[in-house]
Amino acid sequence: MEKVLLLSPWQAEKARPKALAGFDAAMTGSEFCHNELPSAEAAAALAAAGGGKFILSTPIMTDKALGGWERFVRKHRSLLAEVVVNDWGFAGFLRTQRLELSAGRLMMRELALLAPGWVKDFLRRHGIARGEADRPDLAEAAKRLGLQVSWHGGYVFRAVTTYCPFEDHFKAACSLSCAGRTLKLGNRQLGQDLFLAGNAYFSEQTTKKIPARIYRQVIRPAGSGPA
Amino acid sequence: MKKADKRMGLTVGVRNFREAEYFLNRGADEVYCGIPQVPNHGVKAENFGSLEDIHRTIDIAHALKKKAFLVANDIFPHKDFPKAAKTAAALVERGIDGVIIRDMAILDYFRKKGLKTHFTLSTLALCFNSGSLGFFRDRGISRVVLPQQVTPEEAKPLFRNRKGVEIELFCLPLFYETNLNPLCSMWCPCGQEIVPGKAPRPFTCQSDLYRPDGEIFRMPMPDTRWLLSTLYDLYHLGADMMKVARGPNIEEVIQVFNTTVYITKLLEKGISKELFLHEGARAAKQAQNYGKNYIFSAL
Repeated sequence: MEKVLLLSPWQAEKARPKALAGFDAAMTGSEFCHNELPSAEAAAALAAAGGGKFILSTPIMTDKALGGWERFVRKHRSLLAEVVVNDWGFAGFLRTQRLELSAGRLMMRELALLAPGWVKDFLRRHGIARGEADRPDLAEAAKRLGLQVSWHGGYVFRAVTTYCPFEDHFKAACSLSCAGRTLKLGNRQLGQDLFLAGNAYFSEQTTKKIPARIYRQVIRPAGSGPA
Repeated sequence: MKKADKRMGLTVGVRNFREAEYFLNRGADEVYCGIPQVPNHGVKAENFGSLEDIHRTIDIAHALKKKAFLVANDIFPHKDFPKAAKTAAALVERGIDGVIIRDMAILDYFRKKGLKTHFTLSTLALCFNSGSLGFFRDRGISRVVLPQQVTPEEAKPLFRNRKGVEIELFCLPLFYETNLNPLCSMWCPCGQEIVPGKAPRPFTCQSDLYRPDGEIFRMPMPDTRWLLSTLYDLYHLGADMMKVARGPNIEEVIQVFNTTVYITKLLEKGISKELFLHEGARAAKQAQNYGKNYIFSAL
């Protein structure tokens, strides 16, 4: 089983080779916020620290953001070991780039429910070979679809907004004031705390058990938030 | 005074023939209807009770030179495909003007079965960019319901690259969800069926949450002025349709419908943005500002 270190773009900028000791690769970007496009410095730091290549996570995005992500992929194509995709439109672009692809945690929530025959055809046409999962049922669904499972332990994604909870606005270009912050939110309904990181809400996984037959485990640095 | 771009159509979700008749006679251009045989994103109380009632709805819509649609905006279990396709085909044969869908697998299945009709993409399919719009258009989509969260600036390329696809909006100051609906697994009243006399589940996203220091946190959302401003700009980008969603509480749906008609007419008059924000805020003040009311009431 591979081990991958999940770093936010600002953690990636400061990545040192020893941070990746014991890991097969690093993963950066964001599956949730289109403003968390890694910088060229982050790409260079990860390439230097992680044996030349890294995995890029990408979110659902608007056209304005999509241009930036496309440019990043084109510019750093040789450094990308794989791209995690959540957006139907961006998947179309990535198909043309002949990169290794994984269906992200958001896309997997759709693919797990759709008719398997249609999904397998979609995966084949787009060259998607892996699936990110943070719930055992999603991991099982990915396996049934013939995908290698990339397991995110610790937290389960619960919701995502495009209206930034940290900055209280919709601006496409944000000041990344969420960087490195996680807000724990108690509530009287769900029976567990919520964790706000960036523009997404999470709760803790109810089991620490890692599903059987997974391809890789995605691990956050100690003390990092859930995104 | 800014000249209005064009008239925007109005589509309303209905639950029975009486509601269809009510709204079609009061300004709706289209109604859409759900039935339990065809999976759709709503509680049972939002569906029609019989196919005959839908047939009558088609007839009255056409008699008034208007349209009726079938809503099939959920992800379908594979086993339901044949039954749903058969029902949809029978309704198309009977005159229904189109189908609202979210699931690309069922769309492909419908088309393989020879179902030729107008297909609208539900907002639940999350079409956020022109690449996605192309993905859905290539599969036969003729209209897209824009996600409520797309800003006018972000929507410009979608309008520019739509290549004949119609764009439908929610009346944002009256209906706005802060989290992306199909990806949210928190509490919501639509997550369970209505039990008469029992309070519906609250929205987690509108409930008090507690920071570690005990301070209350509410998931933020834009204010009415911002939502009106967004609606104004999206209209002037060339939106084709405005939508009033189905709801289990008819008093609320009527109130939202009346306010939507008024707000739409303000837009079509070509008034300035400043005046629209002023008048729109007055109109929206008394209407719902979040989700739906899940206390059941019928017409």
